Amino acid sequence: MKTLLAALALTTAMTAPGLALAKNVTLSTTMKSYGGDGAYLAIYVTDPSGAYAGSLWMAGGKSKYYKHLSDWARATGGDTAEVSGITGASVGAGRSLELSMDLADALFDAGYTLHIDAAVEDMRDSPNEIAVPLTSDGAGKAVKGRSYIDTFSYNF
Amino acid sequence: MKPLLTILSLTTALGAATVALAVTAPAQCPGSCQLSLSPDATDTPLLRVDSDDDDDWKWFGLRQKHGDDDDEDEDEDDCEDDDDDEGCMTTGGGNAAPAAPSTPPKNGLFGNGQPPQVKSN
Repeated sequence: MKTLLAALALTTAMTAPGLALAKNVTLSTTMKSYGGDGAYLAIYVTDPSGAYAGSLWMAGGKSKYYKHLSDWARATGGDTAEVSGITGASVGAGRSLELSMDLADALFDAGYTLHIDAAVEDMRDSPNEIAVPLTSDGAGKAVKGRSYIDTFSYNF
Repeated sequence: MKPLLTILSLTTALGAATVALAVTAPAQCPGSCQLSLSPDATDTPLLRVDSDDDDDWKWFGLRQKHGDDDDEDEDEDDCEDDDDDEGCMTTGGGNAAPAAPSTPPKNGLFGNGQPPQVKSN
């Protein structure tokens, strides 16, 4: 009995830290009424040195248009494996996209930056339209986009 | 002289008969049948060809349109392909179809290995 309890305590101790290393984050993007087709959005993160760290979401399903998300495409070489399992539909003008995900705690207050590249068919590409540092203080603060994105914010 | 006149009148009569046989009544020929030069009524009469094929022009218009864009678009599928749920690049209104549940990439960003939940309006 004691052995069993010890084993349970050990496994719990090993599991609990893992549960505490991530937080549920909601990314909210509202598009402007830019008068065009649905926008492709690449949401990705760079590390403190500015190097590509990984993708969080790809809005837009046709990989042949990913080249228009030029900063993302340059960083990833257009590798669709980077967005495998995290791809959805493009976002229409005037519409909003809300994403809820568990993100590693290590991304916050550590110099990581969230970027969004945007592109609309037959309109100008907008790489790095959003670039926000991932910080505890930055949560809940809306930032304005340059071309197609009205506002973007992240919340815990 | 008389044989010559006889021959001339004979050929004239034959020619007139040929023309009479070749002219087909419009009612017997559908569409835009016109005069046929063939004495044989079974031959296909000349038809007025309509060169304004809308489908071809439309396709050409699409090709031309896409030719003005990046050159790789010339090799792309017809935008009217209905197999994809997003048509050309998008469905025009921002398709709200959510991503199918799947494992996100193992890039160290996701804490629990679960895919993001998406909500779009």
